[in-house]
Amino acid sequence: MSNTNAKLSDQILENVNTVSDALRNISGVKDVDIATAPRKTVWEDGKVKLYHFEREGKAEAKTPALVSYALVNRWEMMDLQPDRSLIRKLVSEGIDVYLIDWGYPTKIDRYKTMEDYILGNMNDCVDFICEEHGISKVNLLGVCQGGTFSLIYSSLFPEKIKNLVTLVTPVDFDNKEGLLFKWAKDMDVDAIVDGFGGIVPGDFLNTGFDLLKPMNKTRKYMALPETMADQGRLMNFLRMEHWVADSPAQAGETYRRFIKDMYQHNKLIQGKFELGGRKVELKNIKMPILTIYAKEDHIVPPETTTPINDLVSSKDKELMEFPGGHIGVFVGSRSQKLLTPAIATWLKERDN
Amino acid sequence: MSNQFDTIIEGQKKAMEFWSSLSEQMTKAFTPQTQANGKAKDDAQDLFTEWFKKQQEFFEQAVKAGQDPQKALEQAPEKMRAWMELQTEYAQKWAKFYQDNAEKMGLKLPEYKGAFNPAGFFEEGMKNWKEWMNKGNKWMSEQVYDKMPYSMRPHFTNFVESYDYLQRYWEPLQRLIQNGMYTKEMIDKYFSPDAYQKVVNQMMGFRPVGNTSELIENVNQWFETYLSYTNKEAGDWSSVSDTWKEKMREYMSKGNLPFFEMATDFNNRMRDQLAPFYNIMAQGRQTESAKLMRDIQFAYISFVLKSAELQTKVYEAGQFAMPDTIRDFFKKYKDSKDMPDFQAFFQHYVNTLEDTLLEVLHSEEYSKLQSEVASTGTTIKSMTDKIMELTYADLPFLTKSDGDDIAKESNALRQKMRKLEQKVAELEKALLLAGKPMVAKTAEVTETKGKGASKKKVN
Repeated sequence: MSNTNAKLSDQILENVNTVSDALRNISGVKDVDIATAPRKTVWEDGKVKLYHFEREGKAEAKTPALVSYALVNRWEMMDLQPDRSLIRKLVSEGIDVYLIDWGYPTKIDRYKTMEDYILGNMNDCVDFICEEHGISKVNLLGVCQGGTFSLIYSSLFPEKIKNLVTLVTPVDFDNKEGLLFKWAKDMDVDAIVDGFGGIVPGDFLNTGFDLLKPMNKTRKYMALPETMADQGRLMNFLRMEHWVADSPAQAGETYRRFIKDMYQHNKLIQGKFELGGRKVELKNIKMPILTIYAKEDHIVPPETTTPINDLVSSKDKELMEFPGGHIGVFVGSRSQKLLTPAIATWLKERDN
Repeated sequence: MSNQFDTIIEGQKKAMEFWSSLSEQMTKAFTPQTQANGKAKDDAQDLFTEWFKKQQEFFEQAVKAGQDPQKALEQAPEKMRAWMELQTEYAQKWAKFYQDNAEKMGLKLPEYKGAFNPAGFFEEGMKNWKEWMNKGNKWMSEQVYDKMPYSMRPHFTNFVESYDYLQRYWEPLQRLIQNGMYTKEMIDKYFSPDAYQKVVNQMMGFRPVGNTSELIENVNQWFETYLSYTNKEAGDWSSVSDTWKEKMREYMSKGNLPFFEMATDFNNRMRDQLAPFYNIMAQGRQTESAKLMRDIQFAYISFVLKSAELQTKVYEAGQFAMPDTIRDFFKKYKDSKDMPDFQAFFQHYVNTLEDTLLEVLHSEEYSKLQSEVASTGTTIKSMTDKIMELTYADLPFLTKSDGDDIAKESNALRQKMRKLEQKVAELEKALLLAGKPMVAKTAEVTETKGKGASKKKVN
């Protein structure tokens, strides 16, 4: 056989093997399970729920951690699958974990405001945990927009937060590189919110996210035969697809305010943002703070995150860079090995 | 599963047919000259008989395995290897036989020239397996599609279509690479601007606007017809149901109008069930509807034009991605004579295209235009909602505006309740500081289910 033919036959054989494995794997898929870490709903207010993740034995750290995810997309990304779960890993590292599930806003929630989310739901959850544990402070872990909410909350209620961790959290919205930041400045958010009848569909947001890297989906699907040939990668792919598709709508008034006050006027960083009639000043944050950002984050570029460290008054403050993108930083294998243990260690060291 | 294994069997049958036909022609090619020399004829016949016997055994096994899908699946790679070895061995024997005998026998070349070149012989045979692979991939796509969430399926379909579509051009694109023809003018001859736009539309999920002037003309015509009827007949409408019925009869004849088809269906259902209510429905909102329709007409034309402009920006930005990709592969080909497979080519093209698109996506112009498209689109939606509301006003439905009032009221109550809770908490704190017993301790977090408040502790 000539070299060309040998190469061709190798390629075809490889393809046949790949397709055979892929067919076998996909035929075996029954359900796509996601967010399986055992948990209990311990509090709820309308569509908002507070989960407490179950654990065997007592937590190593006596201060529980409350996770606040973004309103955009769902928190399940933090517990995508057992071997890629920030939640499970935190629990196994000895942290007592609570999480706010913001739910799926519907038309009745169109007037729900940032005050309702932060001064209402978030504050209620913190109070609930404090009362349950007989403590006055909790650890707060905010992710993306949930991180911005956490910064606002910690500025307004510093006495209730022991340690603050922000993950891929935007704070400086005056950024020219991030496409979302650029586009949001030109967005006629009033027309969008009013046009959609006060509730902005998740699909509308997803279209915007897709355009940030317009060929990402093509690349992902192109790798499907190889992905499917590996049972683990196949399930990971399907779980991610389900997570991406599960995109809640946004309460119009909260969306309007967040776009205007944050993306368009960058009020938080300038100390001009007010919530419930109170001025939000990031310098009120004096508790230890850990700021985590993803080096290749194209949704929340590092430059929008890192200024947090300069704006707070905390003496104990740390910036941590992790390889990966906005989502990869949580679901990548390195997250399990490096990111979550680093967070757990940081919290435990400040648990006195 | 059965479709997939039918496909395997079908592919194998085709392989069998191909080889049978090829061998028959090869044997025939020797026939005239072997009349006088029985030895050569017998040798050729022996080769064919031996090969045919092996093929039969191979396919018998393959067909048996095919009856058990799981077994066939597991054995596919091994059978592929066995089959290839069989063909290669045969090709080599034929080539040797030809070299030893043909020239001295004064043979003319048979129709299948590739048969006398083991390399060509082999490649011909591969076609059937490639076909099997393609069908396997198609089946796999369908399986993946079924497992995907509904909202992701259009993305996947777009990908599959764009991949398949570009693959149709793979043959000429390979020639362009091999010959270093990477100018846009040359590429346009083989991969036309229309074909390029089709690929971009599929990858970006665009709904192409097409010929804008034609579209605007149609839109205007449609709206003018609608409005003239509205103005003329507004006073004669006896009920919304009758009006719908009449209008649908008119507009359905003008082409495929999914919205009106849906509305007609809805109207027909409602007419039967809610006829009594129609009789008491208010009249006289037609004028307001007509004004809104006029607004929608212009907003829609604006939307079409802006969308077309937006799409054009994207098309323009990416038009050199193909020439760049071909140039890159030509450089590699020149040095190594290695041609990429289609997957590698597609991947490179996609990456190059994305780089060029990102440049335009980052531009001020694009950002502003995109915002205008989005706001115009949502404005049209809200005007359409308003028309629907006007049309069905006074029917026993909860309108969007009614819902809006309820949502506003509900949220105001929620905020009021929160303020009261905070006041209670402050009072408790003050009482505690004053050393007095607390009242209504933790009222806000204890079980309140069934008492009108939604907030609760879950036990």
